Amino acid sequence: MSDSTAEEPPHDKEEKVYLSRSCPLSSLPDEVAISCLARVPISDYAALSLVSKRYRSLMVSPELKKARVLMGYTKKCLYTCLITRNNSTPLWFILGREKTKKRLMSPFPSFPSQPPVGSTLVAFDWGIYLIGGRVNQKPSSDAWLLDCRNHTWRQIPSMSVARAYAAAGVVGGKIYVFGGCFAWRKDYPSSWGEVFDPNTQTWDTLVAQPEKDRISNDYFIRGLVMDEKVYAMQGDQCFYYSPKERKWGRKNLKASKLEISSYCCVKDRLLYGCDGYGNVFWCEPEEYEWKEVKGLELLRNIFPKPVNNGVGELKGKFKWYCELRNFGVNIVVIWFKDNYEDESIDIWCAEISLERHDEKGEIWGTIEWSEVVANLDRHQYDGKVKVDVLYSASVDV
Amino acid sequence: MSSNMIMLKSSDGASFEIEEAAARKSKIIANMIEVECVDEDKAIPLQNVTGNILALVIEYCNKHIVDDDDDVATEEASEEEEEAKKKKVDDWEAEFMNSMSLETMFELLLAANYLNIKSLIDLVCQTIANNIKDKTPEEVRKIFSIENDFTPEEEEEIRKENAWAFG
Repeated sequence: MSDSTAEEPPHDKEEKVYLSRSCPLSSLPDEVAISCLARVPISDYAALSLVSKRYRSLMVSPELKKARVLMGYTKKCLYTCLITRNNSTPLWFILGREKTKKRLMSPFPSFPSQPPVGSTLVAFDWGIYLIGGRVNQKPSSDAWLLDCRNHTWRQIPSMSVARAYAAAGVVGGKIYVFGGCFAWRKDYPSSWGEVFDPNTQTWDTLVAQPEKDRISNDYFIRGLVMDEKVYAMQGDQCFYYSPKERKWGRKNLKASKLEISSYCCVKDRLLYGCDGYGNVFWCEPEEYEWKEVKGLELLRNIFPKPVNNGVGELKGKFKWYCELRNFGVNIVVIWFKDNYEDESIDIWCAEISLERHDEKGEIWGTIEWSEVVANLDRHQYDGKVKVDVLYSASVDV
Repeated sequence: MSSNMIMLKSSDGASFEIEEAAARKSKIIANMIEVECVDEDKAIPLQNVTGNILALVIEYCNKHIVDDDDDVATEEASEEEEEAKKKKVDDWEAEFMNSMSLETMFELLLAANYLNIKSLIDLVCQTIANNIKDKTPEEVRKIFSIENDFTPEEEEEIRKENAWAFG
């Protein structure tokens, strides 16, 4: 943090001073108390919020969050939501807030009525928004917010349209959602796109999409934000909404033979993606021509090989799903590996830093770490389980 | 290096002589010097700081004025030297903070806040944070003599909300 003489001296500001001779910490003005609390690891927040009412209100205050960001005390945490084929309750994990050296994903409860599939996840500020989803074969208009500071779920106002597999992204502090209406089954809804303002907690309808840009199969696997536009891919088509211009757009993408199962956009306006074999790719969004990220042979080696492994149901062409996400300036890759000896499934995670070599037009990756971050007991899930990453996002908490 | 000396006067009337460069660690005093409202013969009155706390503040500033000068002078110092120096400062700071009671620490923090000495605020805040870390709510209450103003029901409610963290 920079010192600035121009800064107003703290004692000149109006302060809420809680004076009490007997409790010295209570004698600190809020802003000074927050300066202390911001340095305490977030893993202590739950305990601290139980100390007293004043602590409770300090621990959840936006000022504390702001102070942590300003002082660089926030920590990037990776939230991952898994679904197992035989269990309809999604499993939530968080990676990155342990005090121990070993990286472990710790589970935390999902909310009871979370749709098993098809919700759209958006990370914004200290929260994760889950929007829509498919419940009993039907899309839902409900939306929920996970407060990452204390891991509580709450329902937020519902959308005007039910959606599953919609695209969403945050631009200018607002959450834009579109598609997922399964428009081929019914009339095109007038609220094909909606925007949620977290400040006012209200949904608004976006301008209607021009007829020529409409599609009937409007379910998307992912949305992403680039240049203040929300993008979504569907096959070789790319759809976007520009909140600034209040305009929809549609582009054709170059067909690719690669089975990119997960993609994201990190700094420098590049897309990154991975397939199920431990290959990481990148492309310029305009060209949409995937190129391999160099230097990651090791990742391929630790990925499970999709060959005969002696277990009937996993033989042959079987391939695990693999997830790739932004993690600050780096990316993380999440994948699974079967342990045939003890009938469990290892969840692997690797953080990869990226470096662009402009002269050759190459991008090189370095594995910062790769570890088994969790282990699922297969018996617990009827033995023949397949696990998928439903959603994942990194949040600064 | 300027060897100008200025006088500071605590709320309880104690006077302290301090090098201007050390006093400039305080943004407030630095501002006063900038706008020339400091008379060389007159002590600067600091109404919110008692003598015993001001003595600690001055001890800290004197220690760190030397460090700051070193920073500029030895840009080409080797990494080991830098590290050794940093360790020396860290050790001094640890010893400095260790020497005082929690109550003094709070008073020092309030004084640092009033005088706007950023590095001292950081040091004391970090020390207090270390005292809070890894503690149960009961322990934190005890250390800081804080009264639990939750009803058992409210406490249970929050505990439930936080259940995953205590698991």
